[in-house]
Amino acid sequence: MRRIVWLAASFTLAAASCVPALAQMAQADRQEQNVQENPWRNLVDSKRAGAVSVVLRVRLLEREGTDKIGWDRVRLIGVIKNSSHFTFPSEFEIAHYSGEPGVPDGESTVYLEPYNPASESLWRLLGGSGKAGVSHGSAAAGPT
Amino acid sequence: MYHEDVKVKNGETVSGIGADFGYKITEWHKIWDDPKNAPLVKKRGKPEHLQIDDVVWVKIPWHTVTRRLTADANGASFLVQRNGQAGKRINWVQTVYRGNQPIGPNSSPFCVDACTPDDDLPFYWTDAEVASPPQWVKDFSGDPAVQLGKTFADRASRGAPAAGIGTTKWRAIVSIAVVNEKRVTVYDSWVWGFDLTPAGVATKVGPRCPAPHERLGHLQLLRGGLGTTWIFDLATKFGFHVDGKVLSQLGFGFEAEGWTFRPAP
Repeated sequence: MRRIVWLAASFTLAAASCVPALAQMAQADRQEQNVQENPWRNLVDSKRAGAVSVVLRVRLLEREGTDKIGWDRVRLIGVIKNSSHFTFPSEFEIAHYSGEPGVPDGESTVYLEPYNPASESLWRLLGGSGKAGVSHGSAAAGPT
Repeated sequence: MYHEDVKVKNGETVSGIGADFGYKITEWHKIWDDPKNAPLVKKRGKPEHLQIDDVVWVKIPWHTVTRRLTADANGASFLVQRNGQAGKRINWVQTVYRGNQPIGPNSSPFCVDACTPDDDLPFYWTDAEVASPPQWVKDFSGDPAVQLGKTFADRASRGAPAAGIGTTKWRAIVSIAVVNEKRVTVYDSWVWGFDLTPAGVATKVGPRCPAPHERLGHLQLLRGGLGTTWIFDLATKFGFHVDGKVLSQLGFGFEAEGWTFRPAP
């Protein structure tokens, strides 16, 4: 009986440890696919990309507003670089300082750094600003 | 004006303590010669003879000298500056009521700003920001060498609310915060904010002194405020965010972590 419990526990641990590995593999596949197939794959500032762990192509959905920090809701178009352990969902929020520009209308490339030291799921624009944290904007389509 | 009772730690000096609380290094005598320190002066004779666990009384005379509130297209901006030097034991605290438009991962209408915590401390500026102020604050204050220990800045805004939810009434109280160990003394508080109608018309509110019940609410929010630990550990481990209001009601918050908040005595 004790052995069964131990085996079950081992399986549970193994299964749990597989989750991030599979997620990372899926994300790596997605990134590779992005680079091969999508026209925006070269819309990257390599210097800024080297300064952050995450570079994404996104479309602005909504500027929610600002307190000390502003939050912009975006739709993920593609992953250009992701060396974090976080898998980005199809829609999420990006932070910026209240007095700095955030994600612009339309599509853009965003360079992200962790929002705070404790979080693996919250992200802000490089330097807390769209000045440093955004490039290759294409505002023609406007927010949806 | 009030006095902080500062317990001396290993290696601390009168001039260093004074600098922490906003004095120039050369102004140590303003502290040493304070009548409240007469018993200490009589006991030790010279500042150099200060001992660990001695209590030095430090007068806190600083007050806000600039309060510039401006209406923006969809909110308001507030710049507050105080006199004195920066001092690493003086910061700012701000609590916010976000009305019918809470934003960001923390969906509570009441919060300690940064409303989605950007560090584990109750103060407005993080240590990283104090060390390297955001560019927009330099621009906004007109001072490229701005010191955040002396300067508060915020630019609050919202999108026009849907007609169904009515006017957004965003209100904040900002205070000077003097930090002594984990005791925070909050004073020189100012209420500010804006109303934003469904038609997109923003009107600034304040700045004005808080009413007694508002001061009480300010302190209560600070006591129940949350650092990154509670919200984001849960998010990382369990994959979901727990509303800050719920956590506060469960007894988490800065007070549970040993922080105390008081008005100036």
